[in-house]
Amino acid sequence: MRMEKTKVSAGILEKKYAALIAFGIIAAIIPLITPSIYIIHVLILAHIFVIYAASWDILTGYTGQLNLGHAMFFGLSAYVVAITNTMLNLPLLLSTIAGVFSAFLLSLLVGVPCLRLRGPYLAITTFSFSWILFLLASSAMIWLSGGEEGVRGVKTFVVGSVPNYYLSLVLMILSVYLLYRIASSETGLILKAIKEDEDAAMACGIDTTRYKLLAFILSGIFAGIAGAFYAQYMRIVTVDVVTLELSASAITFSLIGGIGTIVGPAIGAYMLTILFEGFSWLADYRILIYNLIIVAFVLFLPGGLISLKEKVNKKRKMVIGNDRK
Amino acid sequence: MIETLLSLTINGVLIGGLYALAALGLTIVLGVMRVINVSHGAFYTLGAYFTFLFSIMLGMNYITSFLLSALIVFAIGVVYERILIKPIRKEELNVLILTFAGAFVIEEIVKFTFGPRYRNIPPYLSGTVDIPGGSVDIQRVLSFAIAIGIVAMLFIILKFTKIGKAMRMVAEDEEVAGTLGINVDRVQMFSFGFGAMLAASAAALLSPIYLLYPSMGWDPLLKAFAIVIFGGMGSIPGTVFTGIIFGVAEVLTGYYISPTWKTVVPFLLLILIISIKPTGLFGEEE
Amino acid sequence: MTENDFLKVIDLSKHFKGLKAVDEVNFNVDEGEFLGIIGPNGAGKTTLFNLITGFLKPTSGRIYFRGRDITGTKPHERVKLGIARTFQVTKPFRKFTVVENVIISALIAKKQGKIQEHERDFAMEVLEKVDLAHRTDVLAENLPHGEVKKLEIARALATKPELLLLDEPFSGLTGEEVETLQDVIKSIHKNGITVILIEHVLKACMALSERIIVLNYGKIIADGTPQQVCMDRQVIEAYLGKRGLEFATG
Repeated sequence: MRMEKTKVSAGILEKKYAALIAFGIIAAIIPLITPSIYIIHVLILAHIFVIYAASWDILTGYTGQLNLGHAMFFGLSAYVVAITNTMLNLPLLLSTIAGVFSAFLLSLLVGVPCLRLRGPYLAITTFSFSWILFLLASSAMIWLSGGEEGVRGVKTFVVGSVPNYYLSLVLMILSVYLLYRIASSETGLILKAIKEDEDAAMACGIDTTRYKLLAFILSGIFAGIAGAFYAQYMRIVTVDVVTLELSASAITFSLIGGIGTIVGPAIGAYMLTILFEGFSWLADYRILIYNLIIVAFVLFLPGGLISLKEKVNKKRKMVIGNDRK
Repeated sequence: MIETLLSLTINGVLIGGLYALAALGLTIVLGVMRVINVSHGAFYTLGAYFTFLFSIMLGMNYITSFLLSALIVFAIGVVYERILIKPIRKEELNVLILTFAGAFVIEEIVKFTFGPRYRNIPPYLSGTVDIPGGSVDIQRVLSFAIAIGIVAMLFIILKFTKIGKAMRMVAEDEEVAGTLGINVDRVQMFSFGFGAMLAASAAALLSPIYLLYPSMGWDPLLKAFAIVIFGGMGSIPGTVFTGIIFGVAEVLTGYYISPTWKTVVPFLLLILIISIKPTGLFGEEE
Repeated sequence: MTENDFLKVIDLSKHFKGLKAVDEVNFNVDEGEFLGIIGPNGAGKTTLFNLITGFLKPTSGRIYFRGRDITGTKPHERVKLGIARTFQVTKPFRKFTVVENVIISALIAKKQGKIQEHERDFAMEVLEKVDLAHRTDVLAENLPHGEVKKLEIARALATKPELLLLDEPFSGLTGEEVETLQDVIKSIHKNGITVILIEHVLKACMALSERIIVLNYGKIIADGTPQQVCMDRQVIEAYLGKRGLEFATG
């Protein structure tokens, strides 16, 4: 979309890229300067959750379709990778494709009925789907999922922390870049119109069904990619990947960063993962703190951290305006 | 064979009545405030743990414990609404997210206070009644009767009392209710507390049957959701009827198929129904 | 069914819980016409609009547009065919700027090949037409009510419609605003767009419409020129009640 407005915003754009490049450089040299495998491990998890959070955002942040059970896409993909790889002895690449494909299928299965649903009905339905998956994995189909013990012995693409670090870094940058491109294109604008007012969007001629389904599919596939990578990196998949807590954390990451911005949820996921995985003494209180943070953000900063920047910019603009007078 | 079925069905009905009670709380909040309260299950948890606190830890009798915990959860609901929901009530997405997080906060507080391990409350009444094909605990029959009593009371409150009429008017049209001099904020605050209290009552009545643990609220929450959707949002008879159907379906699945599947089946049904008729079985088209 | 029929509504009904909101309605609209639809509150005017634009499915009856049965089609498909609408309760994209609101429609129109120029340029053109060009970069949520009404019209116009349905565009406007909006709507009609207007502000509706349909309890009780309709006994009764009729006719 040709929406360039003034030279000021072009300047901001350059800054954005500068920040990105700076991040890329720092991220690339971290393994060279830190001796700690643990730090590398935390960062790999952060990369995975960045993809996971951004994939939630493309559906809920852009079209407003509240998905309370996002872990289902992540978890199903992770389980399918693990099960096909260990029990069916599929090559890892095939398992990965199967995992992502299963997340895609699930996004259709959930998305299609959800197309006709609005508001609370939709939220409840997504919730129910993930709950079913959780019940299956934790009790009804324990023979397949292994329950708490999990499915063990998944193969990995690359051996060792550092190679996995770089692989996850590349995957994260690619995924976030793609999602960001889609979100800032015409498609992204149309999705946001649906979030603002679905009836009005229809009156503008938008095939809302098609675009909502598209958002569901994108969301499912990218969460599936994150889940598949998680499975091969961790080499074990337990019931953790389909819990309500994991679903809730997609919301936490996004809310803290800034819903409906792709970059915001990515930043939120990165920060929080490092914060909580890095300070393990916090682990017991993680869920409590996560959710207190959500409550506080909903009440006081619903736009997330990224909205702080806008507020600062606005203030600056006002100052400039006053100068002119 | 038939007798087993009958006995199972009766047990299902008895449990279903309590599910209906929990679902009614959700329906009322939804009707009056147009808000989905994801914390509903957490209020259920609170109801169970307060009953545990009073009856087991403090040694009070069951009925007092039941009433006390219902009242306390009512108060918690009122405060919760005033501080957390009211400022953001118009933003549906934010309310859903906040109550989702709120549920976890309550769950964690319960966990830190009472510990993560399973607790149980012994039956408050022993003895059984013979029915064809077996027997049922008197306690279950009494709990069911109390639940039906509460539902009847609710019906009377909504139909005949001033607050009940105000609730129905706010549910019908908030703005009109406001212009008629109804204090909409207060009615909604009350309704929210009331909804929380119904969850807590259901929990208190179910707690001698099920185990207590901090995350116990999610299952009844999702059941309540399912019942509300099946029953059509906002209909009391629909909700009660569906609640009972749910109880029966659960008990029958548990017996004839497998106990581990009994919790899954209702949700599979839910998704099936919702895909066919998005407004629920008894819901009217928009 | 001939190709010449622009919009044809046949035996159209919509029932809600047994209430007949629209009851066996029949009428035609010719290309280039300006049709007003009036009626007391709850007469079924907005329901009729929702049926014509596909936001509701009729209980029975059919709708034809340019000889084509569009009864089962979805709203966006009807927009594609050239039917656009505004909403009585305005529905702007609140967090979008004024021009972005219009760009959404223009984008879709462009994808459908209805416009050639860049969607932003086209959106600006439309904003000129409704006299909103000075508000381009204002957030829709910060617009005053009168201008939101104009924005609704702009958004509908940007879909390049042949038939424009306006649902009470004058409600809540001041006298002055009504006049400027009246001019805007007049010029839209002059540019060859067929208009159907629901209105409560009878004066404006009478002034603009070439023909008026009166709805009461979901049924058409009068159909004619503004003058004819004004004189109609049933219409006066519907609006003023029996007593009013006695009073009016002495």
